[in-house]
Amino acid sequence: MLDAGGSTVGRLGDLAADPTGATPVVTALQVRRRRRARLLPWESVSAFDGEAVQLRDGPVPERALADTELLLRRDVLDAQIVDVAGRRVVRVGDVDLACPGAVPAVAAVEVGTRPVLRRLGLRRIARRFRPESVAWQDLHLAAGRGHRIELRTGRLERLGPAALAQVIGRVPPAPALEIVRSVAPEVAARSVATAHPRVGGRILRGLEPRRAARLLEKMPADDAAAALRHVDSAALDPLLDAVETDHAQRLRRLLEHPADTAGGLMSIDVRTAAPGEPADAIRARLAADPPPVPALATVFVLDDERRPLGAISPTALLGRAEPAAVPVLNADTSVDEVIDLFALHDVLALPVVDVDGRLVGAVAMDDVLEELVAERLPGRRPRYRRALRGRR
Amino acid sequence: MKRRAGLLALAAVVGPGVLAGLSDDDPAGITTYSILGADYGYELLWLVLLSTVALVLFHEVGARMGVATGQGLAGLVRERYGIRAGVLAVGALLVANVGTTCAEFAGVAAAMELAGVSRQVSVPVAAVAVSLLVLRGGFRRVEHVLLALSAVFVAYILAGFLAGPDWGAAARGLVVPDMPFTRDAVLTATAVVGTTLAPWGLAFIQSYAVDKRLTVADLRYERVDVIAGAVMTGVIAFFVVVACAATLHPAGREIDDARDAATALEPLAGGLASTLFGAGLLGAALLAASILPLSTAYSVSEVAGREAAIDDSFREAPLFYTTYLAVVVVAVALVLTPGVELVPILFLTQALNAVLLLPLLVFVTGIARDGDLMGEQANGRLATAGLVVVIGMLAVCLVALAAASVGG
Repeated sequence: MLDAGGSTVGRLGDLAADPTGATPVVTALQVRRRRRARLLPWESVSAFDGEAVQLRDGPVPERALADTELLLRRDVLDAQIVDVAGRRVVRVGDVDLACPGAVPAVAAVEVGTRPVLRRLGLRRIARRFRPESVAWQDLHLAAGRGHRIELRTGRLERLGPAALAQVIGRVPPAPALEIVRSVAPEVAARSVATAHPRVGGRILRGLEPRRAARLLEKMPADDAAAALRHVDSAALDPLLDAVETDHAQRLRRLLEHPADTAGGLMSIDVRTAAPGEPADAIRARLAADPPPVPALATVFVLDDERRPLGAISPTALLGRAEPAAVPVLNADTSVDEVIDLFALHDVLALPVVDVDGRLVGAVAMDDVLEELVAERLPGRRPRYRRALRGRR
Repeated sequence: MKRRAGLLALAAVVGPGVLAGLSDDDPAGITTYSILGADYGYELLWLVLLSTVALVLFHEVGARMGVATGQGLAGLVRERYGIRAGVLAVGALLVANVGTTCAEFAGVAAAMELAGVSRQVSVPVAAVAVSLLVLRGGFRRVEHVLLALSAVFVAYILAGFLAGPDWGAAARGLVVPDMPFTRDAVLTATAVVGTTLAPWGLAFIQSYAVDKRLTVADLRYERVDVIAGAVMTGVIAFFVVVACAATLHPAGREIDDARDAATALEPLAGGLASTLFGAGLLGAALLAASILPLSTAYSVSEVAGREAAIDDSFREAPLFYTTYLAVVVVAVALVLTPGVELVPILFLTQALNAVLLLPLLVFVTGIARDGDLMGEQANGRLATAGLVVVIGMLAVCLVALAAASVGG
C-alpha cells in the first residue's frame, strides 16, 4: 500500500465488509506493517488495482472494527459455509469481489479444489479444474465469528422455513442452535418441524428447556412428537413438564405410539362432522379453521361415541358432502399395512382409532409419501427424509 | 430410572474417545511398550502414566473442539492458520498414516503367521474385511463392531497377570520418575509418548465427534468416553510393559517387535500368555487398520473443503472414499511387495508421527483458546497452560533425541 506521495505504508492485510446489505460492501482495509495492524476506512483510498492500493492525501483516520463487520480474510476465507442452493457444506477457497460502483463488494465465494491449488501456487494445475462458486445470496457462514455476525443481519429469516430447515440440518449442532435462537419463534418452529426429526431432536435437546417448550408448542403435534422420539428419556420429562399442559398431554399421547405404526405417523389435528350435518355448515367450519395440510381437508363423520362412520373427501365436500365408507386404521397398524391400504383405496387420509374404536387421529397421504420416499431413495439413511424436501 | 436413562445417553455418545484411545494400542504401540518393558523393566512405567495424562488432556480438547466448532482438526487448521498450514499438515498426516497403516497390516501378518497363516492370504482378507466393515456397514454398526473388536485387548491384561510380575516394583516404577540418560532410553521415551498420543488419533477423535453430531449437551458423557478410552489405553499399556518386564527383562531377552514378544513369552510365561498376546495383536491391528484410513479420509476431505460423513454414499463423498481405499491399497501393496524392507518404513513413519505431533499439538492449543472459533467452550489460561506443559515435555524429548542422535 502506498501513501499519496507513493511511498509504502504497509501491506494490505485484510478487508472489512458490512454484511447487512444484499452483498457485503467493503468498508475498510487493514494495513499491516511490522506486526502492527491498522484499520483504515475505504474512503481513504484514492485508487487501487491488482498490485497496489493508493491512499488519499491528508491525514488518514484510523478506526476500530465494528461489531457488525466481517473481516473477509479472517472470517470468510477458508471458513465453512452452507451452500443453501446446492444443499452442501463446503469451505471458502477464495472471495470474489465485484465493483459495480466505486466501492468493491463481495459477489460470490469460490469453493472446491481450484482456488486451493491456485493459492498453493499451482496455477497451471488449478486451471484444469472446473471453477465452482456460490453467490453470496445462496450461502450461510457456518462457523465462528462470521456465523454470529451473519445471524444479526436477519438474512436467514428471509430464506423461508424450507431452506432454513436445510441449513439447520447441514450445519453442526452448535451453530444450528444459534440459528434457531436468533430467528423469530414462528419461523424457528416451522423450520424445525420441516427438518428431519433427528435434527429436530438434537435442537430440542440442545435448547434451554423453556425455549424448547415454546418451540414445541408452536410446532404441529405430529412433527413435534416425531422430533421428541429422538430425545433420550432422561431429557424428555423435564422438557414436556415445561410445555403447556394440554399440548404436553397431546404429545405424551402421540409418543405412546412407536414410530413405525399408524399411531406414530398420524396427525391429531383432524376435522370431524356429525352424521347428517349440512354441507354448508361443514364447509363454513373448514374455512374458519383450515387443516394443516390439504389432505387433512378430509372430514370424518363420527357417531356419538366418536367412532368413524365414514369420510367426506375434499371433492365430496364440493357437492353434497356424502360420506363414503373408508378402512379404519388401528393405532398399532404397521406402516407397511398403511401404505398398502392407501394404494388400494383412493383416499387422501384415513382415520386412526384406539382400542375402543374411537377416533384419535388421521394419517394423511403426505405422511405415507414420506415413508415411501424414505424407502425408495438410495443410501443407508434413516427412514425419515423430511429435511430434504421442505414440508408445510 | 434416571440412572438407566443416563447410561443410555452415555451409550449413545460413547465411541470417539474409546476408539481413538484404544487404536493407539496398535501393533506399533504394543511393540513400543514391549520394548519398554523388555529393556528397562518396571523403571520407565511412569512414562506410561504421564502419556496417559497427556492423552486425556488432548483427546478431551479434541472432542470439545469438534463439538464446539463442528469441524475436524484439519479443517480448523485451514480456517485458523491458512491453506498452506492445512495442506502441509494433511500431507504429513497422509504419509505418516499410510506408513502406520502398513504397520497395522504387518501386525495382522505377524499375528496370523504365529497361527501358521501366510501373509499372502491374511493381509488381503483383512484389508477387504476392514474396508467392507467401514464402507458398507453404516455408521452405527461399524462403531459397535469396532468396540466389540476392542474387547480382545483384555488379552493383554490376562497376559500381564499370567506373567507373574513383581507388583511392588511395578507400582514404584509407575510413580517414581527415573530416567537413564542414554540415547536408547531417550528414543524409547519419545516413542512411548509418540505412540500413545498419536497424531492420527487426535485428528480422528475430533472428526468422529463431528460426524456423530455430538452437541454441547452431550459433552458431559463424551468426557466419560474420552477418559475411559484414554485410561483403558494406559491400563493396557501398563500390562504389556509389566508382562514383558516380568519375563523378558530378567532373562535379558531383546525384542524387535510385538511378535517377538509373543514368541518370547511362551517358554517364560506359558503357551496361554503367548497365544493371548498374539490374539491381542490381531485385534489391535484390525481395529487400527479400520480407523487409520478413516482418520486420513476425514482429514483429506476436511482440508479440501468437502467434509464427508461415514453415512454418505460414494457418490456424495468420492474424495472421502477414494482416500480411504487408496490408503488401504497402498499399505497392503507395500506389505505384500517382496523385497520391500518394512522395518525402515515403520521406523521412519513412527519418527514422522513424533515430529508431526509437535506442530499439531501447537495448532490444537491455539485453536482451543480461540474464543472466535470455540465460543463458550474455549480454553481458559489454566487449561492452556496444561497443554503447553505437555508440548514442552514433548519438545524436550525431541530435542534430547536430536542431540543424542547427533552426539551418538
